[in-house]
Amino acid sequence: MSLRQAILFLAASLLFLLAVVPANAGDRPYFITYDSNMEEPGTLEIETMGLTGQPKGGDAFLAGLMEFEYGAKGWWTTEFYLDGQTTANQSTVFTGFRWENRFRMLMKEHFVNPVLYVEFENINGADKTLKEVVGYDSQFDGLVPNAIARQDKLREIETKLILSSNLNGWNISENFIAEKNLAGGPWEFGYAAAVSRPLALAASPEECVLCRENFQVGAEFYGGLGTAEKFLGGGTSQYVAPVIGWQVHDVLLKIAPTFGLTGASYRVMLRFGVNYEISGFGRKLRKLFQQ
Amino acid sequence: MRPRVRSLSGVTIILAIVTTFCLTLSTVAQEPSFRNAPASAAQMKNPYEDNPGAAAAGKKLYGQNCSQCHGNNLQGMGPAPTLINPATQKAKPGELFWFITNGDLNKGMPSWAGLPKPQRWQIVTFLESKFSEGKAK
Repeated sequence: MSLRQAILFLAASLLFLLAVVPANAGDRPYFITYDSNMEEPGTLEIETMGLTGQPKGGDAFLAGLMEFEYGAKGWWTTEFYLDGQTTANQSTVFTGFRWENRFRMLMKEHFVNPVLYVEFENINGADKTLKEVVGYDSQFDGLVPNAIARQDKLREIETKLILSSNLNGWNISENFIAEKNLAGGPWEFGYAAAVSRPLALAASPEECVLCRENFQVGAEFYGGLGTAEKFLGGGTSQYVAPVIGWQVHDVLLKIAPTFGLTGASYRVMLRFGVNYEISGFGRKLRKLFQQ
Repeated sequence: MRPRVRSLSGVTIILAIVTTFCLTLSTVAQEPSFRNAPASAAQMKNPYEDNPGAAAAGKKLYGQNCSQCHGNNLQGMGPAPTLINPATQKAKPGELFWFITNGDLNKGMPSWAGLPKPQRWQIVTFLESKFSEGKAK
């Protein structure tokens, strides 16, 4: 499958989702940063996210991930991801899976709401989803051909402390990331922060597509902070990304042109995503097995 | 000295009666708050009280965020309870707002603090309008 075919396939999938699937309001348009919002218990959210970019002197790529997010409890959300990518002039490869869990630490709403995040990743070196940026991750990792990069198996544990506040319609979220390859190597650190707000805080009485309340705008900032051996050294990747979310008939579409701020960063990337929810999924599944 | 002792004991008895009366009155008057909402929540005023436009917007928001669990007619579905119950209908607008904001994570009600404050009040306005409709019938 060529890069062009892959983009067309993705665009067709997005249009299909747009036409048929319902989602919940209130989700943030972030790609990297987590806020304290948990999935409603028994609800399954399916999200597709894409990222396209090109390392300096390398081939363009389109990475994609499919996310299945389930609300196990009001305070516990669990997610499963499948990752893949296609690189122009090379190949399309499945790059692994991730399983993450988020635990809300305080049961009531506070000025700052902390959430603990633990993830197990079983991916390979060809992964280009840039789901998080840690340590000294750089655009030059993307120069390694898929055939070689996929031989590099990565089994990693990733932890995050998520802090999130909701103030006068604004959401402000900060994530502190620590990641460790189980095969060895030092702890790697990173961060992500984001801020967003709907264009209108009150909803209009009519059903509408282009109302201001349906649009969220904001920005994300993320990057590596080095490793336990060399913390805050030079050569890390740093990114800034304006984000826009658009709620269309209960489906959230989001897009983020992303700009690298250092030499190690990809110069420009584009992220895009769409999500939808199946409410009462757990209940329906239980019924199916009880019959 | 004797008359003074008598008058003192009289005052004590009257004080005891008044105190007992006040305590009884306060116990009767103090109904438990809705879902353990703090007293400050009950004091909050709905900025959209009796505003039909806000109720209509709240209906739309209820459809997007709440109806999947509580049903289109507030009847409740699965583990989520019906909202047409005396406790919810008696709850003050501020208490409903507080509960929507905080949820009850241990019992499966999510926090909706991610929704902007005006939208949470619009949902409260919609619920109040539905409760009023029910009373009118």
